[in-house]
Amino acid sequence: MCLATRVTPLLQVVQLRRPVGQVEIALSGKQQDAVYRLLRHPAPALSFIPLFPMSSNRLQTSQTTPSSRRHAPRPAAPVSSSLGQATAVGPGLLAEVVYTPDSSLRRPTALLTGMVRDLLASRELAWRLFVRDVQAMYRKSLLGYTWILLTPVVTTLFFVFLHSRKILNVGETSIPYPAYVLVGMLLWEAFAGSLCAPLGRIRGAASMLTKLRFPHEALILTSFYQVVFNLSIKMLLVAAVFVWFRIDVGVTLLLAPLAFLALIALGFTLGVILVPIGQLYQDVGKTLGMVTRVWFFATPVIYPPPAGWPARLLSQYNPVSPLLITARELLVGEPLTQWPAFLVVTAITLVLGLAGWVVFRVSMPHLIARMNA
Amino acid sequence: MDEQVLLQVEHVSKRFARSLKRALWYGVRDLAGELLAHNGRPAELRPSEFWAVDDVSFEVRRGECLGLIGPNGAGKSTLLKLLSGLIKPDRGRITVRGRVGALIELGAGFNPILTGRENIYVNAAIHGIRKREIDRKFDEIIDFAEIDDFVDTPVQSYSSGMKVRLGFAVATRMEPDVLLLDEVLAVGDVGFRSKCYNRVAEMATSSAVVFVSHAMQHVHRYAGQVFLLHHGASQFLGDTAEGIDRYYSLFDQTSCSTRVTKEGNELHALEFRDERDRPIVEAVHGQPLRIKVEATVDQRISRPVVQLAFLNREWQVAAICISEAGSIRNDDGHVCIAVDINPLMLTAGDYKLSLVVFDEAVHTNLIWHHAAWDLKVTGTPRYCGPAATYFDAAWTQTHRTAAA
Repeated sequence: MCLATRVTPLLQVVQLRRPVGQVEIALSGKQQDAVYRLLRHPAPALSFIPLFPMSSNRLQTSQTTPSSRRHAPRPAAPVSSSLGQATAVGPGLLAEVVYTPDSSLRRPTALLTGMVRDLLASRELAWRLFVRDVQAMYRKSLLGYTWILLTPVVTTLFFVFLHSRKILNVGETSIPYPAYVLVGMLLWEAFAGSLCAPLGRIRGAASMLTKLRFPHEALILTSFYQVVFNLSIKMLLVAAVFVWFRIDVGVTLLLAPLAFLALIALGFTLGVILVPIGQLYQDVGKTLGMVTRVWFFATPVIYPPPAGWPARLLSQYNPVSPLLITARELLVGEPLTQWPAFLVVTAITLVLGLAGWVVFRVSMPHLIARMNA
Repeated sequence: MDEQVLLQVEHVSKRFARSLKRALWYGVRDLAGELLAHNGRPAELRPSEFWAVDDVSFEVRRGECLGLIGPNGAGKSTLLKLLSGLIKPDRGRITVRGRVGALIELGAGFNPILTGRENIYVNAAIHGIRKREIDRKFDEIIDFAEIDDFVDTPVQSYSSGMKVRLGFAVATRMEPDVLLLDEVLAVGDVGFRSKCYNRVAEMATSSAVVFVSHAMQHVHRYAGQVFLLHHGASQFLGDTAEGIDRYYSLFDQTSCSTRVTKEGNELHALEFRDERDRPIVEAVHGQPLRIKVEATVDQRISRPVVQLAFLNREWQVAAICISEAGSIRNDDGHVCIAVDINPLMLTAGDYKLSLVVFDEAVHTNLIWHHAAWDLKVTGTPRYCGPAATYFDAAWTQTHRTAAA
């Protein structure tokens, strides 16, 4: 039986946007899987399903029997790849990937389609890796997930102590100081975690990277899940503290997650941009650790944004400040003081983030070639 | 030969730097080139660089298995990395059609704290196998890996063999078009190894396979063709038996024989003769072989014992013969003997001969020439496996029995 001939009419039907129910008869599990996949692609993409050796190629590889695959004609028409150019294939054909020394930037369309495709393909792996890490993280510990909260709580208590004894002399905060510091700490931790995550991930996955081909986006995505997960858990603590201090939150609370995301995105953007050089030279990682420590104090985390000159510069020319301040203001429902800066930084982050992704993607083969694992 | 070419390698080269500092700096420069969208001018060697893979070309079709062989450091692993798309070639072009499965690192991403069950899903995701597929094949994987009782035990308490078995069981659930195998067959105990071979052979029928191994009997068994790499360059591409021959001959120049002689003893001559006592360089399987030895042996030793050992190309002893105690006379220090081996049962191939003369009474070696002579045996079909004896069997057509 040749499965390809049975799947092909389905493809045509789907392309014509007819209800699939009409033809969805007597399909095996694998075939249903194939139809399901096809439906998830937008119709125009169907005749050019970009196939990647390990991700979306299964329509051809597992849904067809060897006998039907054998006589597949040679595919044509270049579309995408991460390293070289891949060739798009119609139904029943095999994906073709070509590796050449040419820079992948010379085929921008192929590069972009490859990026989108790998991002989609990396979701499952990223989720698996995230689940693995979460399951494993605290299995060998007595306090378990409490550890996520323990560090910020202890640090917050320490600053609260310094503040109450007037050792740390900061201005008046709009909400009780403990709540102020706690929120600041959590947001800062989300940013710092995002900043250091890409380099750390790539380092940790060296043995996998040098031996197996998988969408590298998965590593970044896993770290993103991790940061969001940690922040979400910590937000429960914030909720408890807000209830304790009877802090009224406004409707703007609903917008706060957007500001959190902007903050995390800035961290990941800077982190990803540092990967290529940081992976080659350890100096970057060491500098990063040092800079993060200083940066913490240069950001209004434990003190309110300074008004006087030149201290004001700290919050003005520090890209983290507007994001962090806006996130905190949205959370507690205060008037937004830094929203123009917030929008500018966010826009720059998005542009830089895309650029960083491209850089990350085209540099990975070079980094892997120089990795020792 | 109308099968589709799934893997096509055309004049591919890859350079590496010997010095780490330079390697990193070249890494930066390569990155810069990549980001400035260079046009991929033919790369040249820079100071302290060498070609790890040098102008290599071949192709593999579906259903074919190419044995990739060569000494350590020949560039085999680098080539596999290029094929799987982990690193970019510096010259040339690689075309891969279909899904690539690499059995290079077994148990990648295993977290020792997690149970076997949890790790199966992580490992499968790394190999690009979907959860649904694993759900369906879960029992199959557990059965294959033979870890029934340990599914919910953390992997850190697995034996190393169990880890590898689990990794293999998961990785081989792939259904690749192009399968890359790097020395992964030699895992586990004898029972598991045979299962591995069967599973890989099964996968190989529907894919194009590139198979890296130092075990020539496996290469001979699985590979239809071999590709011999040496110092990154292609030495030979073609017939398996000939390729394996050439692989071994790479070591002939480098491996040296050992000659140890105790004072007062000396070997004068060792010759190969045929049944009519004519000197020969090639022996024929099934025919008589005479080995003549002349030596000076310490006069005090009245009953020397002579041992001859035939070593195959893997330097394993393929056959030996030992003189019976007391059968060799020491005539005032002269020992002259003819060893008649009739018929010579050795399988055709290249052998090395070792000779030991020792004193049976005190078990000391008087003369020991290890792998000092080459002997080529012809007369049987070409064979590269470990079997050293070839039976001249009679093959007869028989009739069907009633039961069949």
